[in-house]
This record gives sequence, structure tokens and C-alpha cells, in this order.
Amino acid sequence: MKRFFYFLMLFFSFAFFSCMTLQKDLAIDVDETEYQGSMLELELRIAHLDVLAITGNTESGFAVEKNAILKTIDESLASPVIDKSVEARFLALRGRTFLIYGDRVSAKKMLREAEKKSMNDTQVLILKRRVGELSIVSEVSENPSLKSGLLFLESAVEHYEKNDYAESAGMFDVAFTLLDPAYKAEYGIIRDKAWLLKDSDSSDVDTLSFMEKTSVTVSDMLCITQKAKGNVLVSVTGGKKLKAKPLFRMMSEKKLLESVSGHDDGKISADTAVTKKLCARFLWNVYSLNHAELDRNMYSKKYASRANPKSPIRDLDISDADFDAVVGTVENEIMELSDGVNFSPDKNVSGKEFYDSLMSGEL
Amino acid sequence: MDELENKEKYDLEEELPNSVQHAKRKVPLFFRILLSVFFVPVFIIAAWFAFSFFNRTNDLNLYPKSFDVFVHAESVYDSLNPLLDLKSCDILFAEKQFSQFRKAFMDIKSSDLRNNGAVKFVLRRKVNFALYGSEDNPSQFDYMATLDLSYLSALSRLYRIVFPFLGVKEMSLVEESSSVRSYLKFSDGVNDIFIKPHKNVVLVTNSKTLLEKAFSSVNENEYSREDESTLTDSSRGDIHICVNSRNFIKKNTEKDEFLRNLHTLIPAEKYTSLDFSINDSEINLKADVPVDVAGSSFEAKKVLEKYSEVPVIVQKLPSKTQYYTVLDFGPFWELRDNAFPLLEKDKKMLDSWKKADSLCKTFFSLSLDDLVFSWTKNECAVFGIEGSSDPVFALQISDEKKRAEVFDILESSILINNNTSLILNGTRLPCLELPSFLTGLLSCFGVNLPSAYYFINDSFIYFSISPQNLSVLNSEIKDKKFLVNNESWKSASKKGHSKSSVNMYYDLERSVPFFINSKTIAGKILNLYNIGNMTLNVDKGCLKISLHAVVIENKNTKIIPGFPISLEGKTDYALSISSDRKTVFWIENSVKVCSLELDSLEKHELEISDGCSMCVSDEKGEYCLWVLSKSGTAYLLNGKLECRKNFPVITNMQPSCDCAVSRGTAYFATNDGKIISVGKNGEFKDLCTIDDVKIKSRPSVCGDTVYFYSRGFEGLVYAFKNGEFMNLENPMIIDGIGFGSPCCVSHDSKTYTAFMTQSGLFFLYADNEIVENFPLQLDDTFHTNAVFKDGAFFVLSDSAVVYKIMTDGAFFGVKIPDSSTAVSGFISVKNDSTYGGIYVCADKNILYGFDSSLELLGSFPVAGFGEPQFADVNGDRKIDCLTLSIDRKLNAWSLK
Repeated sequence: MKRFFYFLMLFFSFAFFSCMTLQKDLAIDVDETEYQGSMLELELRIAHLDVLAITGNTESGFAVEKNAILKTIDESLASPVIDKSVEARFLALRGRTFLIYGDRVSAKKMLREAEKKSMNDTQVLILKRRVGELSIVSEVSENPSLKSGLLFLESAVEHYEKNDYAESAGMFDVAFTLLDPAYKAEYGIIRDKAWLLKDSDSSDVDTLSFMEKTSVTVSDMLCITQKAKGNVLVSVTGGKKLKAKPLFRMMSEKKLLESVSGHDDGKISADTAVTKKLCARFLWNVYSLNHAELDRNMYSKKYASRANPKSPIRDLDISDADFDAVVGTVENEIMELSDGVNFSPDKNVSGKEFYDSLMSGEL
Repeated sequence: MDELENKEKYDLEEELPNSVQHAKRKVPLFFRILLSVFFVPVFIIAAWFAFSFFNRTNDLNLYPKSFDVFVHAESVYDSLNPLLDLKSCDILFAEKQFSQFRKAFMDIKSSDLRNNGAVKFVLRRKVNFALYGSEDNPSQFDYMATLDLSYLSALSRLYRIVFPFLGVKEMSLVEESSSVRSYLKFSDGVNDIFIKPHKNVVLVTNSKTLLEKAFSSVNENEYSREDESTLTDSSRGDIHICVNSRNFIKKNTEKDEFLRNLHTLIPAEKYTSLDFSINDSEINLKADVPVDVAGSSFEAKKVLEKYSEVPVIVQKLPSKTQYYTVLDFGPFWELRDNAFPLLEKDKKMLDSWKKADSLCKTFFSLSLDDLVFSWTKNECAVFGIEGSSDPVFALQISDEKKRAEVFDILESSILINNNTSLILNGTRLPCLELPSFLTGLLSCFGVNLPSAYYFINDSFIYFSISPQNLSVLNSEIKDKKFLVNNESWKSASKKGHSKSSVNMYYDLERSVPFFINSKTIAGKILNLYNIGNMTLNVDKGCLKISLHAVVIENKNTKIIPGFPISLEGKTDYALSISSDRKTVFWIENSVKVCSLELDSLEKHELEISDGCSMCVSDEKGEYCLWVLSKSGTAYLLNGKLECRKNFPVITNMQPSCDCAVSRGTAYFATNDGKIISVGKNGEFKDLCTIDDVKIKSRPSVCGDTVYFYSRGFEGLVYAFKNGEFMNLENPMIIDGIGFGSPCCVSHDSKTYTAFMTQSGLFFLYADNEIVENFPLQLDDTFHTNAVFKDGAFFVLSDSAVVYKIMTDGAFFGVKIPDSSTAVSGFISVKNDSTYGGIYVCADKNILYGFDSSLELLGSFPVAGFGEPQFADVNGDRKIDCLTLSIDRKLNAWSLK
């Protein structure tokens, strides 16, 4: 109120300029200007670089694009008639480009210049967060006048950086409904990763890094089992936490890496990549450990005893050493068929797939 | 003897006139007594009502004069009833400080009593209400309210007789020797409320002191006729509010020297009146603030001695104007003189002024007065043009010749560069580049104008950094396209004062007026009305303020105020709702059962350490939520998560699946094939055992039959009824492995059981027999199972296609928009006439709704994942949609 009355009086003293203080004008949305098309194109080029930088994929063509983008921005800024909101956005994008290439000082300088033109422009706010001056974009997005698809997207990126994958995936999905589909094409890879990890514990970095693996080794598999669900191995380890090598040795000694039929199809080392079949074997053995009454060969016996023995899984024969393990883990909802009829036994298991199987309530 | 008596009687009757005899024959004694019994009480009651009508007091005279705010409404019902449905009220009661009243508000809002004729009749009475500030604590208020019952006070006057029969525990009748004599006291242990029926009035207050003051003789007839008409005038809005502004400002501005002086402007004996009306499409506020310039010590009081005029510039603004502020407080030089006492208080400002003045004299041989005030008139304005972020400034010219002279001097100065003129759309736009000392001075006022293009038209000069703005202005003026012809402006401005000293038109898309702060409740409410007009009219001795705001285009999201609610843990996205649709339930981190009462937004939690599943009962009742722990303990809970008597029940049977409820009894299976039931009285039974089964999924229920799916490559579905399996020897065979539970429904006098395998083989059984044309092979894979609606089954594939499968084997599919996979998706169905539909989520945090023809439902998609629930969350008698979402929130969306 004080401010209002001060300014109310100040009107009287100095012409019309103080009219401004009664209303705070908001910069127009750049999307309402003739720059909409070219701006989107530029923003998507920067988004592409942003995703490469976030995913650490900075090899082909990454360095070349910087100069091309800066040149485009500088040409646009040189235009004699340019709205201040457009100018602010170009400056912010310039800052974001510098930041992607690690030039924090230039990025901050661009931010200061952009803020002079328009404080609330979406890209200015994004740049401000990226240089660490705006801690929670979600707070900004609570302001109804600031809600936009780009801010939701930035919120999603911020959550992603904090390993809050569930929030990140949720925000990405909302953002994609509001933005040009090209954003989904660029940021989809990050969103999919966030979706993949949405049920994980964001504070457990080791588990997160395991889940991100496209292929895991036997040693990885044993270590994560001991870490995430150690109780299922208690009868073997006695509750003792073992390092990778002794753990592998102990599991081998206790035959947890051998098929229940007793037929082995090759030597398994700690570095062996885990296939779906090997995974099923290990999990079936662990399942059996905790279900003493279980006949581990029940499925091969059941199917073999039929007049016309036929495997229910197209790509796995009844005679397979791991037939019981595969059928057992699938029927008990520990593992899944690939398409309802095939198991893909030789396919490598990803960290996420193994983790989901391990954490299934049935194990 | 008898004969003699009869004769005498006959003689007497003969002597009576004919008419009397006739009357006597018509009304026998019995009826005369009956009529007396009937009419006498009616007469007494009518007399009592008549007495109550005429024996009245003016309730205004009960109010001590020291109030801060006084509210008057001619009809409680007509003033308050429409307010209940406002979005603004939803916002208000979703705020933390008002959440305690939310339940009561929601109860009233959704109550049928609102349309009850008797309630309407009783509440169509005059009501007054006053707030009295505490001297010690300005933020604390006592209140007093009076309701004028008129002849209905015939009932309230009997309160002393009636009270003993009311049986209200918290209320007591207090008899005292004070002026109040007797009153009712309501006490809940924390707060006391005093109720005093007095003649035609019922008085309610929370302050004993106020009650005593109301009935002390000192107070009587204190209000003059003028005061009375000011306080109870309701001609301008639904609710009339008077504020004792002097008291109010004095109490609330003690810490601020500048504002404290303002209270001297306000005469002690006059009230500021405030009238407002509000609905979902517009809000209208009018305030009249009396001012006493003569007796005031306020520095700039001369400004208020003026009369406002109709602003000229408003008529000249182009139609593309999105917002403007126009000021007219008389000639600028006069304003400068009036405002200088204020300037003197701000040293920085004064120094800048003096410095600019001295430099002007040095460089232009003109004083700042000559430079600015010699050619200017009264009006100045700033406005925004569509599609441009730079505002335009306008200034009224009093002497064009003088202006030209000043500008010539400025333009010929080496300090001001005017070489950058631009021709845009045929209009030459000269540009002034101001020297740094002038731009520095402007920056003191928050104005950034390093180089301004200007344009002169019809006694106004317009400045803007953007020449395009001036070009638009010029072309709009040429084409006679003016703002005053715009419908938006007309609807926002129709109720404002035509004469004004401050005239502000805003569109929240482009400008935020000083009085809208989105962090305050008032700001949040005003944010609902996106276009508005505020005027301030100085009418000698009175400041008249008007604000009228309208909703032109509501871009507001569909989220209901108070939502989303952040959850502490992960959920399984299974949201359940009680049968009365007043409470929703979910489980966090597999171990915490949570409930939310939708009317109060009160959350309850119950931790079950070994993990649990839940199921809402199919029977109505307070205790509606079944929870089954992983160790086999069954709970039957109410909305507050309190256990029913005889619960929890420890079965010691480890369940292999979630429980299902049929006819109020919970059923589940164990790992060793036992079927267990738990009744609502707490009895549990081990009903039977089947060998060699793996019942992993929640049993399906169809009426009194429970269906158990034994998972495996050779899956089996068993029907269980009245404690035994109906098809133990002949179970329904599912050839292939699948997820979820079978869909079991009664339709066309048959009981259908449907199941989709992972490989896309769809089985349909009718009364335990496979239906012709089934199993049906679909070219897709599936992780969810079937649902049933309107005679067809619906399934969601891993490739995000929703299939509709008819019972004759015909089928078709519709892709969920913008989705490629639904491996972890959901499909659910609601069979209700208002919110019925098929609700699906692909692998994204978006919920889509389809009707049974697989047409998208209009209000969808909304953010959310899993099964939605539907309830009237905001009491508007319309169904809203509740969802859990990936980002750990509980959302509520209004469906339009």
C-alpha cells in the first residue's frame, strides 16, 4: 500500500511515466509474434544440444553447432525492429548455448541482459535456473501467469537432475501435451529413462546406476541381489555382506548358478553377461531356497509325463536344462515371456529387467 | 315432573325470537365448545404473531459505534446462497487458514436445504453484521450479528420456555441481573457464542462485552438517520459493507509514518461504504471513501479538492489496446506543487529532480518546468498494444505551439539525437534519444525510455520505444477502430465511473494491476476474472472507487482448488472410493493405508508394517474398506481408518492374492490353495482347499459368485458360490498365460467370464461354456485384462490400442492418442450414467476416457495414472475426477 500511495503522489509530480507503476506490464508471449516459427526452430536446435549434453552424448557434430546457433541468434538480434520479449528470448537462448558448451560466465552475462528486457520470459527463467539462480522451477510454475509447456519441461529436467524420476516423468508427460511434438522427439529419451526409473529410490545411486545398464554381468546380478534383497540369500550368506568376488564364489559353491536339472551348458564367470535363461536359473534357485517344499523339477516332470510332450514356451524345449526355471519363474510372476509365447532365453537382461524381477513380490 | 319441565322449556322457546331459535338449532353445544377450543388458541397465536410483528426494535441501535466493519444484507438467503457456488469460495476454503470451515461449507453447499421452501422463507430476512477490532491486537476481531425475524420472532421470543426441550448439550440458558437479563450461551469448550433473542431480533456475538454494550442504555439511538441510511443502503450490490476507515487506517498503519497521516483525511464521524456483488462471470466492487481535506495534515491533500472529469484519451485509444492506465489529477504543474512536499521526503528523488532541473537550464536554457509543464495539460496515460511488449505513453497537450518550440530546442540540442526517424507504413516517426541524466531521472520512476519514437495526433503526444506500436496506433485511428467499441472493454467498463482521475483497464494476460497479488487470497480470487476496469473518481469530499472485472475467456485449468495434494510415498496407482463417494483411499509404499475425506480434505493414515492390499466393500455402510495384510490380518475400516468392532481379525493364513468382497464378505486364497472368508462381524472361515493352484490375482466378483484365476500356462478359472466351487471338476480353461483377473459379468441372462492372455488370445465363456467364435486371436500382446461395458468387452494392448470385442467375436481397436506403449498401462471401467466410461492410461502420466463406442470423452485427457474415481469434490453437485499421478500427487479435475 505504501508503494501505491507513494507512486500515486509521484504521478502528480512527474508527468505520465508513473502510470506504469499502477500496472505491471507483462511481456507478450513470443509465440504471439511473427518470430514464433523461427524461434521454435532455434529452440529445438538448442533442445537437441541440451539433450546431448544431459545424456553425455557430445560427440558427432556437437561442437560445430555452437557457432551456427550463435550466428543465427546474432543475425536476429541485429534486426532494427524487434520486440523486447523477442530480444530477451534471443539473449536467453544465446546464454543457454554458452552454458551447454560450459561457458558459465558468458551465460550469466546474457542472463543479465535478457532480464533487462523481460524478467518473466520463459527462456530467461530457464536460463536462470540453469545457472543456479532459480532453485525450484516448480515454484515458478505455481504462478498462473507463468505456466507454459516449456516451464513444465524445465521442471521435468530439474526433477530429472535431482533423480526425482517419478516427478520428472509426470512433468514430461504434461509438458509434451502442451508443446510442439518435436520436443517429445528430443526429450523423449530422457523422459523414457525417467519413466524407467520412476519407482526407484532416488537416493540409492548404486541401484540407479545398475538399473540404467542395458546388460548386466553375473557379478552385478549377485551384488544387487545382496544389496536390494539380501534377505533371500540369508540362508546362504548367513546375513554376512560379501564383496563381489567372495559372493560369486559362495553362490557358485552353493550351486545357485547351476540349473536345477544338473546339466550345465558352459562355464559361468563373474563377468559373464546374464541372459534371460541364466537369470531365470538364478532366480528359480533363490525362489527354491525359500520354498523348501517345492519340487524344483516339477514342470519338466509334469510336461514330460504327457502322451504328447510339448513345451508351453515356443522357443524353449522341455529338454532344456533350465526349462523348470523358466516355466517356474514365469508362472510365479517373477519373470515374463517376451510376447506371450516366446521367452527369448538368450537375450541379455537389462539392469531394470533384473531389478523388477528381483523386487517382484513373489520372490 | 318431567312433563312439567318439558312444558316450561317449550314455553320459553316459544317466547324467543325466530332468528335466535334458528341459530340455536344450527350450532349445537358440542360444536360451540369445539369451536371455542379451536378458535381461542388460533386467536391467541394470531395475536401473539401480530404483537411480535408490531413490537419491534431497530437492531442497528444494538451495535456499539466502535465497529471497524459493518455488513448489511437485505436477505441472508439471496445474498449468501449464490456465493456458495462460486469458484472463489472453493479457493477460499482450500486455503489452510480456512480449511477448518471447509467441511461445514461443503455440507451447506451440497445440502438439499438450499432449495427447501421453508429454509428460503426463514432466511429471506435482513441481517447485519459488525466486526470490532481489539485494541491490543489489531488482527483479532470480535463479531456481532443480528437477524431481523419480524413476525417469526413470535417463536424466538419463547426461547426461555422452549430451551429446556431443545436438549442441546453445549447450550445453556443464563439468567443475570445485568441489562441483558437472560441469554443463551453456546460453548464447545474453546469458544463461547452468546445468543440473545430480543423482540424481533436475534443477536449473536462471541463477546460478552459486546453483548452487554448492546443492551446498555448508552448505546440507544446513537445512529442518526443519515448514518442509518449509509449503513443499511443496499441499492448498489447484494452486500453492503461500511468501514470505519479512520479507525481502520489508524489501527493498521501505526508503523508507517506516511500512511498514518492518511487517516487524518477521513472524517471521524463518516463511514466508507463498500458494495459488492460477485458471480462466476463477474465481480463488482464499489467503495465511497469520504475525505475531509480541510482538517487533514496530509501533504498532498489539495489533489483531493478536485472534481474528476471524463478522460478524453480513453475515447482515442486504438482497438488493439490490451491494457491502459489513465491519470487526470489536474494540470501537471499543479500536481508538481502538490506533490513536492512528498518529494522532499525522498532525498534521492529530490536530488535527481534538482540535478535534472539544473542540467536542463545549462544545456537547453529551459527549466524542467518549461520542458515538461509549459505545454502539457491534465491527462497522461500508458497503454499496451496487442503483439508488442513495449508500452505506449500518451500525454495531453495544452499548447501545441509551445510544445513545438520545446521540441525544436530539444532536437537542435547536441544532447538529443533525432536523426533516427523512421517511416513505417507511410508514417514518419521521429525519435528522441534522451541524455543520460534524463533517462536516469526516468529510471527513478521505473521507466526505461532510452530512445523514444513519438507521434502527435489530436492534442495528444504518444511515445514508445517500439515504432510499430505508433504505426498501429496511427492506422487504427485512421480506420476509426477504437477500444471503446470493443465488447471486452464494454463489458469490463459498464459499471465504472465515467468521470475518473485514475482509470485502469487490464487484461491479466498482459498486465497485473497493483491490487492483484497472486499470493493473497483476494489476489487469487481476482485472478479468476481476467479483464477488469478500476476507476477512482474524486468528487469533492469523497473518493469513489469502482472495480468491475469479468471473465472473458477462462483459460483456467480444470484443477479444483485445494488440489493437487502431494503424497509422501509411492502408490500402486489404485485409488478407491467409499460407496457414499465422500472418502477416497489409497496405499503408500505398500504399508500405509491413506484416506482423504473429500468435504474437509482431512487425511488419515494407518500403517500396516508387513504390507497390505485393500478393497472397498460392495455394500453400503460406514465401515467400507477391507484391508488385508500380507500375514493374513483383515481390517474393516471406516473413512477415518478406524477399525470396526471385532476387527482386526488375525487369520494366520498367508494370502497369495489381494482380497475381493462379495455381499459384504471378504474372500482371499492362500499359497496352499485354501479359500478364506472374513465376514463383516469378524468371523473368518477356512472354506475349502483346491490342490495345485496358483491364485495370484485378486478374485473377480459377479453378484454372489467369486471367481478365482489359477495362473499358469494352463490357466483355470473357478467359480465359487455359497461356500463351494461350482465348477471344480470342469473349470474354465485359459490356454496361455496372462495378467490380472478375469472379467466376470451378468449380461443378457448369462454370466460371462472373459480373459485375455499375454499373447492376445481372448477367451469368452458364457455360463461356464466357451462362446462360439472364441478364443479369439488378436495380433497384439497384453499386460492388462478385460473390462465390460454396454454389452462389450474392452482390452488395452501393449501397443496402446484399446480393443472393443463384442460377444459375437467382432472387434475393432482405437489407438490411444500420442502413445506408443502401454506395457505398464491401466484400463478400468465405470458404469454410471454421469461419469460412465472406459478409462485408460498408456505408459505416460495421462488419463484418457472413452465411451463404449471408443469415442474420446470431452473432458479428457487429464493428468493421472491408474484407475480414476469420481465424486463431487467441490460440492457443486457436479461429478469431478480424482486421479493419482506418477509424480506422487492426488489430483482432482472438474469435468466440463
